[in-house]
Amino acid sequence: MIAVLAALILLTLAGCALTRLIDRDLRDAAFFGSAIFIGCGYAAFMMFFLTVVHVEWSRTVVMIGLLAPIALLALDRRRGQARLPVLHPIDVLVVLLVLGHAVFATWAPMYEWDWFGIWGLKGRVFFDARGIDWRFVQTNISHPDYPPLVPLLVDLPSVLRRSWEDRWVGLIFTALCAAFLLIVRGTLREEFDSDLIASIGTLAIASPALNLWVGLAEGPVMAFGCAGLLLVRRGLARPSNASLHLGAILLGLSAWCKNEGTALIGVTVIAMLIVSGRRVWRLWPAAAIAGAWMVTRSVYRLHTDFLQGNVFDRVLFHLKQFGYVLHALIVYAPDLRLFWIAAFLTLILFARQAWMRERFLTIAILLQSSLLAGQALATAADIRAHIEFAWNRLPHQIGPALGYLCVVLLIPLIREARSESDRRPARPDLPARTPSPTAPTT
Amino acid sequence: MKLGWQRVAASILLALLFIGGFRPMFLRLLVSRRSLMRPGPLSGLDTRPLREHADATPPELLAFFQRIRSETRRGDTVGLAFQPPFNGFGYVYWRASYMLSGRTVKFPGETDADVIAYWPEGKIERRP
Repeated sequence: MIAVLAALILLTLAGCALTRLIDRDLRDAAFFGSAIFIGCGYAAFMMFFLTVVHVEWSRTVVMIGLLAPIALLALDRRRGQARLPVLHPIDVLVVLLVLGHAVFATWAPMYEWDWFGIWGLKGRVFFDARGIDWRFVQTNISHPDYPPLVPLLVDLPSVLRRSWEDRWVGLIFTALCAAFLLIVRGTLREEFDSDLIASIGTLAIASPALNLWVGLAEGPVMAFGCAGLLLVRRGLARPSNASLHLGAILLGLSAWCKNEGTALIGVTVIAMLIVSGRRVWRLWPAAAIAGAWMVTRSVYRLHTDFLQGNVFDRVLFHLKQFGYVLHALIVYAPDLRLFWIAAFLTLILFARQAWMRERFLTIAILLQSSLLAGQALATAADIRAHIEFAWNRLPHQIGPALGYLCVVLLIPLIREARSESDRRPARPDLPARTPSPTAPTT
Repeated sequence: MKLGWQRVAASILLALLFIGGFRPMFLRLLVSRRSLMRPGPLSGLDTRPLREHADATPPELLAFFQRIRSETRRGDTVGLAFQPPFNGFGYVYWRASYMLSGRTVKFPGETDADVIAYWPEGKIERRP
């Protein structure tokens, strides 16, 4: 446990130093949340880079790599950005939920099937080799095309303690979910200028954000991707591009977790083109980071089994059985069903408000949800089995962002109806809430 | 009030979002882990996370994997001659691949390997 905690502290400190360089306006909870993400991304890239330059992973080398950005903190004269966030009593409930998730994530060593088949297997092989074993990745049948961020992250504590660790490493998965909740808390605080409302909003989506699939990339791709969406949304409301860049970096890192992260970059670009086309190129960090993985994949010829054979024929074949597919999607619907029903009812009942005030998030979430549902059509396996074993996991990758969208739609409606005077902007540096911060600017 | 129905609907939906999204398990786990102690499916096949249940793989089998690991070297190939329900290309095959990382675990049925492991006999045989 000590090695995992040490790794988390070191990568968060490194993340604090780097996040300051990217977005100097970010404060309190959102800053710390972003720092955890950036730190995780930095740690994974550092280990990837060490392999590229043929330096064997060792405790000393990794420690030096993690401590290097921390020197930036000492050089930085500007203080106050990393101020600890003020807790509201309701936040205690969120903290308890996070602690409960930490217990769930660490109560036993990992034994999910996909941990043995994909994420943990790669992590352990890399740890044994003290670097990424590309030959293993190329020759093993276990999804060679899956990106390496999660295996690299789970390797970090093992390298620090010099032996394999597969129990307490679950804390990394909890930390990523908690980082997302910190960003939710921070951005809601900025938006509504109220700790009470921000903590209520965070509590509403805390459980869906605490991903149950510990040991798999579902949690990390959800956390990086949804946080990236929220920060891009925040960036659209500001003249500065810093938040856009930070959001784009997190989206890029989500593409290093799982292929759905790459799809999320695509739908973010589409949503951004519709909402604010002239700023879309500000998402270049997402393309650059995801592109680095694409290049690596093509250099090592890592094939995607999903795209093997005739994809178009498979999609057509499954479309002809649409009733059967739809039935399977309903039968094997993801858990927290009341949450999903409430969320989609919100989008239906308040479609006008969603379009007028939250166009970016609405488009991005609906497109990604459609892709997550539609990808089953391209499966080479039996589609019913595919849906049965994937459909309880995949929607949770976008669920927390959907919950966030509902919160930022519903809370103003409740407040507006209570008092017309509440229409004032939440913060002087934000535009008035009507029209939306993410309404088209072109 | 002009926005009356919207306020009511928004309040109800927010409440549903709370109730529907809440997982009491996280709070319960702070007090007791009893809910996690029921063994999961032996086949490893479940639509829910396996961590919601206790590990169903027998501890003797896990100890056997550790023994194979300690008696083999990196780069060795290992064939598994396992009896049902642990034979085949299933959960135990992948679990073996993980626990024997660095070695190549041959596909079920393939016996052309440096080492053959037998279960439930618990025998490890090195081929010349």
